[in-house]
Amino acid sequence: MIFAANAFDHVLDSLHWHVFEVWHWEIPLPGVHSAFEGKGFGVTKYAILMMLAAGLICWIYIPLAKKIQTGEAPKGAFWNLFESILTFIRDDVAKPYIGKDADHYVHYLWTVFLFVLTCNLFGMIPFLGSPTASFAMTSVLAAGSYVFINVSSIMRFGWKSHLLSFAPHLEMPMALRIGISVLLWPIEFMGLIIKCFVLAVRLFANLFAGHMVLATILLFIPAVRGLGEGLEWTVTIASVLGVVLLSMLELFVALLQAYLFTFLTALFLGGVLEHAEHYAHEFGGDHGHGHGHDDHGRDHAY
Amino acid sequence: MVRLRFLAGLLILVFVLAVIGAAQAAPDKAAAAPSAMDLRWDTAIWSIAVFLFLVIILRAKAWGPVLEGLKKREETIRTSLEEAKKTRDEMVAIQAQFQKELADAHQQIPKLMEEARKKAEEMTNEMRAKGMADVQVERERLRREMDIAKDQALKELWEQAAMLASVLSTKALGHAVTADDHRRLLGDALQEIAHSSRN
Repeated sequence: MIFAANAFDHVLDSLHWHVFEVWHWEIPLPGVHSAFEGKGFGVTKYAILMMLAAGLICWIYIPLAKKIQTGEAPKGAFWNLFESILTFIRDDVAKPYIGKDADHYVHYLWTVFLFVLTCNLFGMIPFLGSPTASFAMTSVLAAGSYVFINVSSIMRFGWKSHLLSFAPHLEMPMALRIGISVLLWPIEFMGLIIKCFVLAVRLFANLFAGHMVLATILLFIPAVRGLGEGLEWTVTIASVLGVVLLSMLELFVALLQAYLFTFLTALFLGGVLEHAEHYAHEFGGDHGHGHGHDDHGRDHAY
Repeated sequence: MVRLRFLAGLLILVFVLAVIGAAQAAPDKAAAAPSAMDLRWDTAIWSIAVFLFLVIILRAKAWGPVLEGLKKREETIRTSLEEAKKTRDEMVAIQAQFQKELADAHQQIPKLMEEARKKAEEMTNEMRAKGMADVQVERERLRREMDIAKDQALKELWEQAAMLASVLSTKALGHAVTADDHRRLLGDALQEIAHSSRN
């Protein structure tokens, strides 16, 4: 039970920075530790890691942006590596699923991808952790995507077209169409909320589960302490090997989940914009003229 | 625009309040044991703060220049491709023209050779004719000069002969010959000489 609780504590956010849980080496972080049933309130470990991630992204990309701004061909591994991430998101995620206006929205996709990826990768570094293994953090990101999708659609096509975008396109008599739309509109409206909620759950569950598995395998080592030297060595070697192998899988998961979060945000945004544009044209709205959307892949993804 | 910004702000506010509300409600339910799905509201607030900061700072300082650079590069690549295509088309046209001219030249070679041969032959004939004419003119000139020299020599010979005849006749007759005798004797001598030269 002690070992299980430790694995759980290792992954959950807290006001203590655990270094070696087994030896109870931990750094207390500033905050009110007794608040909220002992969970505390303050500058948590994940808050610090998120700040580190944000700082690292700014440290890399703000100077790099000045180089890219020149329009010259990228030089060197550093420039190529970090620019290729941006061009991948722009060319292979934003443009196919949002369309010609992708450049208006790619800022958010770049930010969310880099932030999620950096937070995911922090989990692969010993003594750090992955803030994306916190449901609070992934909920904020998913809520951010939800707000971004809605605000983008409203700003582009207006309130009316945006709200109508949740009604399905039906080729049938108007009375029947209105009747069915009234029934389906709340489902579609809730559908976007649920999709964004699932974004949060998917990211959190993958990262949390991965780190739980790694922590659990490593905590087999103290669990067998005192049960014989042979068993201790066997379990230690097996645990370390298992963690190394699973870490490779986790590395892949970190990249995949960051990509999925960004990809699905682009996909949901593209869908809402397309429907809103349709209604803006149908009802002669002031917005949406000249904004074409590339439908490539969108229908398949739905 | 102001209305839409107000709307965006309102949505963000609603979202923040919803997260905080959920975070505050969670500890009461999960007081006994920690749950993976527990929402730590301090983590949520830090997440909002850090993520919003990151979105704003990167949009202001990084993504604008990045997009500008990427578009500039795309434009450069597009222009270069167009120029390369144009140059290639020009090269193809020039090559086609060159091939056509080369083929024409190949076709004209026998004709040119024939023309050159004819011209050379004409020139040779012309030069030959001119040479022959020159030789003929020279020959005529020499003949005329020979005739003149011959006539001159004959005249001198006749005068010398007349002189000798006069001298001889004077000696033979023993007295001076008069002008009428001279004229008569000279006439006879000339007739004889002319008669003998014809014979």
